[in-house]
Amino acid sequence: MLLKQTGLTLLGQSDFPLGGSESNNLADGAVQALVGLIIVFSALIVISLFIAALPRILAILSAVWPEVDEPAGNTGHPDSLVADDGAVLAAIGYVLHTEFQRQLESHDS
Amino acid sequence: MEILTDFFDTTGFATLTLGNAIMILIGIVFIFLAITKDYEPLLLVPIGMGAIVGNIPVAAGMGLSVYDEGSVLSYLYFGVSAGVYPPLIFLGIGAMTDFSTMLSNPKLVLLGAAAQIGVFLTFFGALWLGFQPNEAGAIGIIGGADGPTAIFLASKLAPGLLGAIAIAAYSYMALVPVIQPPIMKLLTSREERLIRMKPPRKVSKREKMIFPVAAFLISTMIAPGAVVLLGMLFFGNLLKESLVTERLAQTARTAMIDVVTILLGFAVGASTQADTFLTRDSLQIFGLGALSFAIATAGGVLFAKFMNLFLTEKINPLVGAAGVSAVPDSARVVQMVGQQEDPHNFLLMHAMAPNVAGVVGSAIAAGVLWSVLT
Repeated sequence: MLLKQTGLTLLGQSDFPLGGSESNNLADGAVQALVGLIIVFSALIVISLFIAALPRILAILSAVWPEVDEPAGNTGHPDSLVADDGAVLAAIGYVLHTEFQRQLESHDS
Repeated sequence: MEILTDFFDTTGFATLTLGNAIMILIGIVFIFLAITKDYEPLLLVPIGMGAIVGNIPVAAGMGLSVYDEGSVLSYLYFGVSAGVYPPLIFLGIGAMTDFSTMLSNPKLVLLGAAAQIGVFLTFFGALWLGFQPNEAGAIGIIGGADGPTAIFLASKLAPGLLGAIAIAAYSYMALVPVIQPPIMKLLTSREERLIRMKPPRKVSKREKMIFPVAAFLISTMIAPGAVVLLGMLFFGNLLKESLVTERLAQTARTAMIDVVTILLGFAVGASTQADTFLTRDSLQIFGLGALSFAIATAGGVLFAKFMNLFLTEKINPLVGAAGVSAVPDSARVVQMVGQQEDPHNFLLMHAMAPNVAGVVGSAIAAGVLWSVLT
């Protein structure tokens, strides 16, 4: 029943039969919980596999459609650059601070 | 004199019940915790103040409470009861979420799925305690540690339990730094907590732009019930990553999410009137919520250990605890617990991967439960 409610099987139907479980006993609940967990896992596994494959897909695509350093829209939006610069500066500052602290600790010991 | 007596009978002093007083006290405790302990202040202050406002007894016929048709508070509460606010919050979350760490290490996505075991085991536990299946589903989602998702699903499946579920979800999110560390330490050895992970690889802009559209299609084809929450989450992320709609992304992640958070928190707080909130069901929901949260944390940690059986590059199992989607608090807790063992081990970036995967996972879990239980 759960499988019938995925988008893949509903695509061809005009109305979405989301009306659900008629049973409410524990055994059905256990099955629903197990199948629900499997569906969540399946969705995230497929997303994970897609993410893993994405760099390879893009490597093939880049032969036809090379990636430019700066997207066209970005040139007109200095705000986004400011936000990114702030994050980069914060990260650099954090690493330097950590490194100095480590050096100080090694001097002390 | 009679006028004064009649007036006194309409005041809060005359009509205040013990339940109202308890709820007002709870509201004050929320505000106190937010201010003094910094526990989720953006949520606990509006909820706390809302609880105080909602529990001032008003004379019958004045039509002031959340549940009085046509009252101002009922209009504010409509956004909660109709499930309008949660998707708007997801839009803001999407606009502020960086999926880079997840894209650079896709196997960590599975930890976000493993933590959802808390949702489904609690669903089963609630059934066992005698809740109806729709109520059990709404209670189970507390384990997703995602307030907007919990409110969205409760408004659809069990509107009568909405107040208790929302308060439980946000309370446990606020208590992430208290609940998670003991479970994480109990389930891991010192050697495991010392594991250092490889720094994440650089993710291209194109990957970040393609991801929201592709992930939306994949997840909602499998769980169409999640279309509203995930649609808004990934739409917000696309606004951010497309780099051509920075103004919209900026509004979504700042002004808009702030406005909706204020309205949501206050309306949820105001809905906790003593006569509807202080019930045996609410106590059971709080118990189940705590259990759900603990199981979700344990599920993530144990699944990371399980994955380590097969991986050459080991995962620090603490990172699994971030699979509950309380973003970014649970990732911060992972960093904190990891640094207690090794001050130079930086797990925050790694923990953000299961953390954002947990957001997607809990929305999918909500979609599945909604599809099955309506």
